Amino acid sequence: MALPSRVARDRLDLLDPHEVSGLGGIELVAEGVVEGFLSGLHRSPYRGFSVEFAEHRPYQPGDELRYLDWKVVGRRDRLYVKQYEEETNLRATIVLDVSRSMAWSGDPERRLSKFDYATRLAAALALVLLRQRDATGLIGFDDEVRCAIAPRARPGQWHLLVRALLDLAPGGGTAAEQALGRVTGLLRRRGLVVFISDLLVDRDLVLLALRYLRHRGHQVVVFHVMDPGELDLDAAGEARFVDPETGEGVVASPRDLRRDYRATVERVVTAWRRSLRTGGIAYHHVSTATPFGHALRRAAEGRARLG
Amino acid sequence: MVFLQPLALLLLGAALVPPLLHLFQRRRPPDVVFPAMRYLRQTEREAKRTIRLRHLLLLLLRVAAVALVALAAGRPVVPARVGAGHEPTALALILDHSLSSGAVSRGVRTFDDLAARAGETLRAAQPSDALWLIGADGVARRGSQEALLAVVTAARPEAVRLDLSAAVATAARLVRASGYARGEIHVLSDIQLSAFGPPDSAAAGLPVLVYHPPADPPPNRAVVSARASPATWLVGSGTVAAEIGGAPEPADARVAVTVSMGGRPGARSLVAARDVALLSVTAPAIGWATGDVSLEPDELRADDRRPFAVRVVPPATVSWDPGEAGPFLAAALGALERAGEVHPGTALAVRLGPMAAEPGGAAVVFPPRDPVGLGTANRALAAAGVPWRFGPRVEREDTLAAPRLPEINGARVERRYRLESSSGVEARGVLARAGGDPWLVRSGRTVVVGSRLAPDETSLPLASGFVPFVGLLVNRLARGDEGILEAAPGETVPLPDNVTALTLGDGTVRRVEGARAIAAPAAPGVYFLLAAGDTAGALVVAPDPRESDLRRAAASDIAGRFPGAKVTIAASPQAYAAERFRGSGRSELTGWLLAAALLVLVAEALVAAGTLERSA
Repeated sequence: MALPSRVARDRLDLLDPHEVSGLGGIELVAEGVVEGFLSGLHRSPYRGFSVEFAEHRPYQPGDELRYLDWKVVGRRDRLYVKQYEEETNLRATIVLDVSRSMAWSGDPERRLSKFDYATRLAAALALVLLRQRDATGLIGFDDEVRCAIAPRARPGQWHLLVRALLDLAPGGGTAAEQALGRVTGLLRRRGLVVFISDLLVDRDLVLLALRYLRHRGHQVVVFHVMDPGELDLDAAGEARFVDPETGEGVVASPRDLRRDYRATVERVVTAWRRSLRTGGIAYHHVSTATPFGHALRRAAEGRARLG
Repeated sequence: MVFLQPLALLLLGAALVPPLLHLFQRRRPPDVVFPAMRYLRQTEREAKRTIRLRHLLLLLLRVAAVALVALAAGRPVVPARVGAGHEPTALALILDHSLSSGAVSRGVRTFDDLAARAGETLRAAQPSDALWLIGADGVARRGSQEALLAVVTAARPEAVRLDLSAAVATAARLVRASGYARGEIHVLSDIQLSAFGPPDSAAAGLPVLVYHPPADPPPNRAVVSARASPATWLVGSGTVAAEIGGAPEPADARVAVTVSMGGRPGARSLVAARDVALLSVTAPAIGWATGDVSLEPDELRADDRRPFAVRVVPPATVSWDPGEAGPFLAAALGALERAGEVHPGTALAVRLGPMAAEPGGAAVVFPPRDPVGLGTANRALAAAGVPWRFGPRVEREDTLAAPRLPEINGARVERRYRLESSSGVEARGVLARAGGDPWLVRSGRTVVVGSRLAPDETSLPLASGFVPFVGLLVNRLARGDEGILEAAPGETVPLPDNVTALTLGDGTVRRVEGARAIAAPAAPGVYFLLAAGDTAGALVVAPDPRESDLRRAAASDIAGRFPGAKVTIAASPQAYAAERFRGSGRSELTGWLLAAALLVLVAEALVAAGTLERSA
């Protein structure tokens, strides 16, 4: 597939997600992001215990000098680094929260909704995994599991995943614990579970489910997606704030609560991070304004640790 | 607490505005979809109490700010010592800059101490006060703090007398008429005993603060009177009678008195206190002359020298009709002739008789013996340009009233012709009256007498003052001499009718034509009275002798001088400062309230900023 000139030219992984998403559909954007991401890796995430040489590529600033192929340098007087390809049988499943709360954006004109951000992140992540021959699957859920694609490494799996992502739409409430229970059934072999959600869930149940996965030997990575408008209460005046999932409302003045709210969010994030890491679960807090490349890098680091 | 502007308290209703705004603003807010409701609910639950307290505090601060401003607009006053200022006060400040205030006691001039106290009081006044400054001249000057301070700064002791009782009465009238609820009268004076009149209740009910530091006045000697004796000297020499007074008396009972005239020193004499020294002086050339009597300097210099004036004239040449004059007048003229005070003759003579009047001539005209000649006498008066004529005959015993002619004042008149103005309107120049009618009048150099100078018409010929009176007639009155007037500075002086101008000390001439009376000039000295271009008399302005008595009224007696007044005696500058404006008893809190409102607004801003900071 031919990429648009800008997609081919720019490091889309480092651009503003909203700007990047305007360049095309999920598939195109994910490819552009992954290309940029892979070309800019300073430290190869594919380096494992059983690696074999795959190809040379031109040296880029930031590459580690130990991967320089000095023989080629001597022969051709050009800098090339050696790239290795790892053979693996990793089974990765991306568990995506598609509840109604994920459909929200604090500034729709300038920021992606949490759902749009999460689907594009999931697509890019799936592409990265599939390119390194990891079997990758997808589970979408709100108050029930909306789609479930078993992990496969076969050609066409990524397109299957992309279509599934395109078919998903923000739905009802959030019942992550059921979806995670379903995941345990789907993931019979030990593998990687990437959980992408705004974590507006029953915290104890979700923690229990995630720890259970970890107990079953899965490597679990959690992406806590938040809109900047949720991080910082930036509404103008007094308003009745309504929960999109339950319809419950509360009257509050952001002017009075802003600082306390920010502290509450920080406390919640800290609690999630501490609870998850205590259970050996990687936790990444990302904003919908965070470039996709940053999120991918965090996932790649987790993948590397998994080996 | 009392409010000076109680209507302004209606503004207190504005204090309801913040709570009303708070209530009206409690409308249904717009719905905002917000997924992170669990965080918001948690935050709201935790901060609810703090937020409510902050909102309540803001509301209270706003209500308090509005209420404080409304209260300040009402101008509340409270008992003194609560506020820094005082209730608006009508203050009448009596500053004694009379002659006696120039006395030096223990190296300090009394006036300087008084002026310092006046300055302090004026500086302690507020713009809302009504201020009057009453000087020793009794004039009340109303002005601002700055204007009156300038007056005090420029004030100096003057040769005037302060009538303290009158000044306090004036002050009381001003304070009462001011419309102020509170008033004070401050007396800054050396509190001379002689400055008080009879007890006066004009200040009853008003606070009167008297500055009366205990101090003994310095001994003082003064020339309290200096007169030429007689007032008109004939060529040769004359005598000046100088009376010595002043108090308290110094230890040395005798004092050296010196007279000088025309710049030349004259006699010098040692005189006991309260004695009259008769000092001989050689008469200078014919005309008006001035001189002064002086003492050795003491602690009050302004009364150690006193001026006098004298007219030196040659004896008058007189001619009369023996048949009309009668024996008594002829005898008196004879006595004057023997004394060398008149010379018989016709050249430049003073003519006496019913037909004596002639244009430009000096004459003493009295009624003819035979009433038939009355018409002829009147025609002669008219021909001489005299606006007086003999009217109907009056046979009734009357008493002469002649304030300026002691020689005839009080004498009886049994028969007379009523002197009438030929123009129908009473002409000027009345020197004596009988029964209210003019009896002795003068027009130019013509003197008209309403009675013949005979015992069957008046008692004068039989009185001891008859010969001096005749001498007065021919040597002074018929020669246009108005005599010598004496007055204290600023005192009202009735003027002789024919005086048209007054020479001032610097040689300038002040027109007084048509004026019945003038205020004597402030500076002591001799001022000449002009009539038709000639010097007709002199006005000797000298300090009131009472100013030379420096004895002070006892503090315990002062209250009795102002019955009913709330008299406070301040015995020191500190006591005076402490009592100042204390009579008003209250202080205005407006400034404090406005400051409190400002502080409340600052607090409100800080609390609101804290709210904003929490939201930042």
